[in-house]
Amino acid sequence: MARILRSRPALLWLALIAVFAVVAASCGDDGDSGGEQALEPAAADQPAPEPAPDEGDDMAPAAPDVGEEMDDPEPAVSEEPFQVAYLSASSANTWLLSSRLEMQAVAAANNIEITEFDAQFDPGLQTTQFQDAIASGAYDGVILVAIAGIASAPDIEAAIAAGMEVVVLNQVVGEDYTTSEPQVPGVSANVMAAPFVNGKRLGELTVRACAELDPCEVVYIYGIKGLPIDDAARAGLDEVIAAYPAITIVAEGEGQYLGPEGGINATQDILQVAPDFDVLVGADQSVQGAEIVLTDEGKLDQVRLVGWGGSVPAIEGIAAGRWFGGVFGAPGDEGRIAMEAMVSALTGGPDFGGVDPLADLPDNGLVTADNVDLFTPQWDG
Amino acid sequence: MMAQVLPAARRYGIAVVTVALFGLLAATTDGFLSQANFRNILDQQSALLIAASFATITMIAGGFDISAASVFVVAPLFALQVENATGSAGLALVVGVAVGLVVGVANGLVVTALKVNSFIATLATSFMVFGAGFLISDRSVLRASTDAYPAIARTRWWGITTGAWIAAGVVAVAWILLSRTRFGRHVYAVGGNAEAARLAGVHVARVKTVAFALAGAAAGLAGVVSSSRTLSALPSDDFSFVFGVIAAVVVGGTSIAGGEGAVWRTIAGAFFIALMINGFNLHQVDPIWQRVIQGAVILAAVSIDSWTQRRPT
Repeated sequence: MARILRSRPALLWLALIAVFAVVAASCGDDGDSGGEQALEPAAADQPAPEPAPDEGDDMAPAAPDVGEEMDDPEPAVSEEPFQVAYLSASSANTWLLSSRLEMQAVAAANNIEITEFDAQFDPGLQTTQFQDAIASGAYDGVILVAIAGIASAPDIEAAIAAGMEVVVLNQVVGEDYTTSEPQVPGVSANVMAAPFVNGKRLGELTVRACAELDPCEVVYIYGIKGLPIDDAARAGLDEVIAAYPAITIVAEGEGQYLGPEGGINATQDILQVAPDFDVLVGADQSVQGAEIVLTDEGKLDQVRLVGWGGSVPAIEGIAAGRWFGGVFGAPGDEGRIAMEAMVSALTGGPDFGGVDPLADLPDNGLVTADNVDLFTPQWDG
Repeated sequence: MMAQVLPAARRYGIAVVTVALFGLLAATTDGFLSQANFRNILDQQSALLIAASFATITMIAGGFDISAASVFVVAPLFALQVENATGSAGLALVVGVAVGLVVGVANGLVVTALKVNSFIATLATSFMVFGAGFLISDRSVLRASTDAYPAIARTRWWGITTGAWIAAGVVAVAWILLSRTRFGRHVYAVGGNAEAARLAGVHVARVKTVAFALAGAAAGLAGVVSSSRTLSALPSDDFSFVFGVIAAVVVGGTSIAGGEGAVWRTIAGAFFIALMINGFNLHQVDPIWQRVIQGAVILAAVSIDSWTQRRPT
């Protein structure tokens, strides 16, 4: 038999595959082992989610009411820490790094241990990590920054079916880019500013930047055109400016999201076809690049820059008067709220549902010279 | 007449195509034929030209260097840490180039001493270098603390940025090195037939290692120039820079198999792609369609060049 297998490698591989299949089938479904630990304590004895402050830099949306006491008065805090898998799109991303730091602080205060999985922006890797986390039975909950959008829905459903609590952070999991509401049934919280809504915020700032200008020529720089979040944001902006016929988009570019270089190149080329535009709108990285070019060309005073992200350069630029304004970005708040939602879910508290971290910020998260002092940047850009 | 034209077309196919594209854009595109636009193109291509000119040498020598992307990203992170700590842009520049040189030497030794395929070896070193970038920067954006660092690439001499002047100098060095020195002749020999070169007395391992080292140093310099241009550096896993470099080299007509090519071809290839993108942007072609058309045009250009080089005179 051995001689036959050695002389027929294909048969050897088939035999190995067959053995693997039998072993895999015999393992069975072990989905209950991780879930039961998670849902013991009563909500009343758990740290409640923080209420929203009236003013200040770290404003958080109002937490949902805790509600009535639970019927089963189990010990408030399990002696064993809760285990939460944090499926990050990329551990090296500066935005998500800010989220992670805030997440860790909340977790540490609530007897939760986080295991981070770095998908390195690889959708296939994230799927593998998600499925491994479910199969391991080791986690009570998962916080997901989805790379593949709606393609993550089956894994989310599997996690919920396995008794895990799921919180979605920062990225849309679904087909609707206009809402922060969870789009997969059973998700405890969906913490993100919907791209279309952020686009409308950009549109409002564009309208303000174009005030008293007729016509007002606007340059729009995508991050990556064709990316659903980019297209949704642009749709939101278009919806707002449609009511202002004086405002026209005279040129477009693509800046990517990896630093100012894309914005530099796009702005250099755009100036050759549209040398006298009034407003430039784009993600913070692209606007940084635009600022460099406009400064070199001596045109910074003629153009009103509108950014998206609320990064350190954006807030500094607005405070210094070099930028007109920007839509704030709150990765720290996103991470904090996501973990607070997980705490609530794990301790029998109410689901947070859809949470837009910018909704309760001053002026709906629109940063201008008038209110820039109320904002503290939460990421480097 | 045709007997004279066709051989020239064969040899200089990519240059002919690039000049033709230039003419087409000049005739059809508002804003193309201006000093400002040409200065912009030179500025935009400066980092790529620096890296691609020495990547050409590596490829002619029979090597494939994927790590140019990681060096491009990470070298300026080291450079900016030095600049922030010492206030010296000059020292930062030296450190950035040195980082690339070290990586290049390591690549060369892995390929020659350990006999690892160059694609695999440089892919592996890429991951290590990218990781080092996240560590050295603590996963943060680094920015220049002095005015001298941005001045490396953003000072203007006769209207052209110093980044572009640096690129011109590097291209010239690479061109002379490859076409006018014994080392250059050895590069062609090693890439054409390493065994024959060895039998002829060429130190194959040394030639390859030097080629990788120079390519690494050039990628480090390209990274510093780029970060000077953008006033910052950001750790990432982004491989896109090396795709741009390889595209310029291959579109220019340098053979992936080794033994054939030239620096001037890479320059022509780089400018062909740059002119095409510039034309797209000036015509405001949808970025989505830019991707499709760019790929098709590159394929056509490479096919034409390949065909002209295969046909007998």
